[in-house]
Amino acid sequence: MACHDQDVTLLSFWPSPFSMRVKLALLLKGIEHEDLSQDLGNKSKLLLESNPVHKKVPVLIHKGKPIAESAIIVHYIDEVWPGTSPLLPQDAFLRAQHRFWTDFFEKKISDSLDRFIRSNGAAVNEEFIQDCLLLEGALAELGDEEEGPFFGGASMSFLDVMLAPSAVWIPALEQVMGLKPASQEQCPRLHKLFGAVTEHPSAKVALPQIEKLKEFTQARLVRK
Amino acid sequence: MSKDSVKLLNFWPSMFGLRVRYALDLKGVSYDYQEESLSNKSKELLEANPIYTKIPVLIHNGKPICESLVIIDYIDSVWPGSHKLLPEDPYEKAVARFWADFGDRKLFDAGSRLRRAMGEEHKKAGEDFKWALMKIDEALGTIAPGKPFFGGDAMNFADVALAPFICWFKGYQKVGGFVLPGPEEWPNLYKWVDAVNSVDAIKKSTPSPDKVAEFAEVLRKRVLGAA
Repeated sequence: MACHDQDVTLLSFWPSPFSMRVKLALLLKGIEHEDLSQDLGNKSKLLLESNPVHKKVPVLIHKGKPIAESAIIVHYIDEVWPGTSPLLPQDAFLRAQHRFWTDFFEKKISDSLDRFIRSNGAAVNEEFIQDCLLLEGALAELGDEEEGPFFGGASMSFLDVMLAPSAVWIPALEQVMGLKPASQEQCPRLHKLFGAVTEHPSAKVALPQIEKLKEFTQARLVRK
Repeated sequence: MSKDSVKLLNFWPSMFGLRVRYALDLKGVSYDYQEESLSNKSKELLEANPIYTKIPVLIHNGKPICESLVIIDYIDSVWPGSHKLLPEDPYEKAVARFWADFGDRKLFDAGSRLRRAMGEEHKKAGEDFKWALMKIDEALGTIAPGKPFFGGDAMNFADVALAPFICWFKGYQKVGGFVLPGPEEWPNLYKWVDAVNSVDAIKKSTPSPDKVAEFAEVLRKRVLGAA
């Protein structure tokens, strides 16, 4: 069901995993929106006015009001459009788990990937695989395998949306920069989750193709 | 009706632990308090937070919740009746979450660097710390003009997330080697500080800024000693 809610604009940058999360949430919920791709090397007046504190993407502008920070934006989307594809669990404790693991992903895994990229692949972080194993453990605890591959079972939930961009970024980094992710043997359910993400119709639109990400990564390497 | 069991594992100078205490006290939720020694962590802490082995941890009816902002979000969900922390309006909620996140992303980050860094990096940390407080001053003027708190007349999620930094101001200034600008430069911030400090629930658990400053200096000496 398409929700035609007036004035929904996304300030995006296609390779940004944070931008991808918001795009995915909007698509899962069928929210029609204007997608304004941003030039981060020459930030637009709209971006600077919409996110004056951090000056970053993504920003969601709804009825003229800007919301920044991807996790906060996805929370907002879930609250304003609760009917279709609910993302956050009903149970308070489960919600806390989704938020905890989102924060863990950002503090540990996202941070490791960032350092890997910025060091041109030199910074090999042993912790990265350990952290993936912890995430695998979380999935075993929180995701009902019988229901489906996601933390949300058969359908994507908040945590799945937060992690989804890794389904394309990790393979891109692996193939271009030699990132060594956790193997299928080490993290079977995570592998299944990422596989399911890349097959998901909304994710296919929200996430860039791995080949495009590889080109983007390669181009940045050459420039350094 | 069975009584809730609520326990907080904490370390007294922790800003993050203080957020949880503020949330519980504002809501009038009784809880057991357990002081942890960070050099000798209890088995309970290690089991409750195996990922980080850090405080604060809230144990509610035997289930542990970790990470201070996750905890206060949880507290607000479980005890919604008294002193709601997150606004009902989704946009206002997002704004409150943004400034709570800003506290971690910018203010705490700069404060952390003040404690650990040297030379140019240390100087930059000081500049970043002041910048962050300036932004908070501006935000208070924009979001709730004429009102004492981010939440207007009462403390909300953003206020609770940021308030614990107040008792650390002295400590940060000591390790940073600077004096923070005063109310002439940051009128909204200082009005907010006064308003926060006059809330009974806040007074209940806030450690003395002098004690916190002593602790901050000990941490700094350790870093300098190791350099």
